[in-house]
Order: sequence, then structure tokens, then C-alpha cells
Amino acid sequence: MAIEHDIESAHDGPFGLHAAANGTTYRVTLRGEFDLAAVHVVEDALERAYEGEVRVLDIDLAPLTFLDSSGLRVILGAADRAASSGVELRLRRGGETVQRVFAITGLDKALPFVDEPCT
Amino acid sequence: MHLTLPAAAASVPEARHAVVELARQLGARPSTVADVALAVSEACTNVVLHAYREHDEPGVLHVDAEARDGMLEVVVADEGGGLRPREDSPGLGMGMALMAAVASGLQLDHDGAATRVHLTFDLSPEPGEAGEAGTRAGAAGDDAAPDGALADRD
Repeated sequence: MAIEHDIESAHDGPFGLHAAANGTTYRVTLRGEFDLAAVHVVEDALERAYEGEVRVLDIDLAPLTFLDSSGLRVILGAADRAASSGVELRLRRGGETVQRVFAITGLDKALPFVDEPCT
Repeated sequence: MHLTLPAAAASVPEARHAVVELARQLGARPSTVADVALAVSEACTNVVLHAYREHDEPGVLHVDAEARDGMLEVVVADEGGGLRPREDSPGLGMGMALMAAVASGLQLDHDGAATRVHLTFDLSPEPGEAGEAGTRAGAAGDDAAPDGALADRD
């Protein structure tokens, strides 16, 4: 049974999140600006993935317009959690503004980015 | 432009948006606007996460920005105890590296009562000025912070 969470403007900044489970795939789509003010809501959404039997975690960064080191930390935490839980993580690439943050920090080669996640 | 905001997470986007708007009004290139957004966000995040850890009440975040001699100068300051080593740094130590990578200039000073991060950005209308790459290389390599204030960002 699919479950969905949709959070618009989870804080005062322009940020939105959609999370949905479909079978053993859990997909989180992030929109707008992912900074410190959005950290808790994203962490909560990612944690919900593990309430069910998740095999694949898709995080869609493409709709993001901004990401800083606070968002980066959450993505790294998601990668660690997925690895330790035996879950396949797939990160749909963000735009240039988002991806350059991964590139500057050298993480663009270390994380499992894909151009289009499987649905 | 001057802002004084609570040192809270919600102030990070508020401060960032304000400085970005100023950069746009000053005619900054889109790439420079993106640099401003990232660096200001990191500087403000540092204040929220680090400046008032030993305080019972949330402190304040000061953001000043103005154009001077073709540059956008931004100062992000707190009234806390300054940046100190923190092994459980929730910022992963990447914020300072990101600021250094995208700002034309980065300087920190700490006088015991406040820490100030000075960021400068080139407002030149066309990319590729001869001086820009050298200035950026210098900023990115400026790991030796004045008075060791970078220590927190492991």
C-alpha cells in the first residue's frame, strides 16, 4: 500500500517536499531551497522510509534551486543510513547550482547520482 | 543593508534572500548571485550552529552588505563566543570550504566578543577578468585563518 507525505512550505522559506512509498521503493522529491531551515523536515521524511520494507531510496534533487552544506550533510547522512541498512540509494541530479556544491566538496564522485531515477 | 535577526534556522534563508536581492539590484551576474547565496547561507549557518552554543538564550545574527569599488562586501557577525573546535560539528566542516571556493575574498576576525566573516564578491559585468581567477585562488587557499578561527570547520 502506498503512503504519501506532501509538505509545502514546511518553513518560512521556499521549500517543499513530497515523499511516497510504492512497494519497496521510497521516493523523496525535494523542491526549492534546501538549507538549515529545511533539515529537520527532510530528515523526518527520510526516516519514514525505514518504517516499511524499503529496498530502494530515491531522492530527487532536480527540483531544488539551492542547496548548501546543511543539505549536503542530510544527503550524506541518507547515504550512510542506506548503506548500513542494505538499501540502494539513487540520487537524481540537481541543476548546476546544486551539483556544484557536491563538486566543490568532492562528493560528486562519491555519491550514487543518476540522471533519471527508476520509477 | 543591515539586518539583525535571531540566530535561528529560519533566519538563514531570510538573510540569504535579502543579500541576493541586493546583489541583483547591483547588477551582479547570475553566477555571482549564486555565489553570494551559497556563501551567505554558509556564514549565517555557522552563526546559528556555533556562535551561541553555551548561551541559554538564542543570540543574534548581524548581516551587513554594501557595494564598494565594484565589489559587494558582506559582513556576517555574531555576538557569541566565536568559532571553536567542535568534534561533532553538524556542518561537516564544509561550510568554510564552500565560502572560500565561491567568494572573491574571505576574511575572519574575532575580538573575544564577536566573530565577523567578511565576504567580497566581484560585481564586474563580464566574466573572465584577469584578476578574478587569481583572487579566487587566493581565497580558496586561505586555510590559515586569522587567529585560527577556522578551526571549528575541521
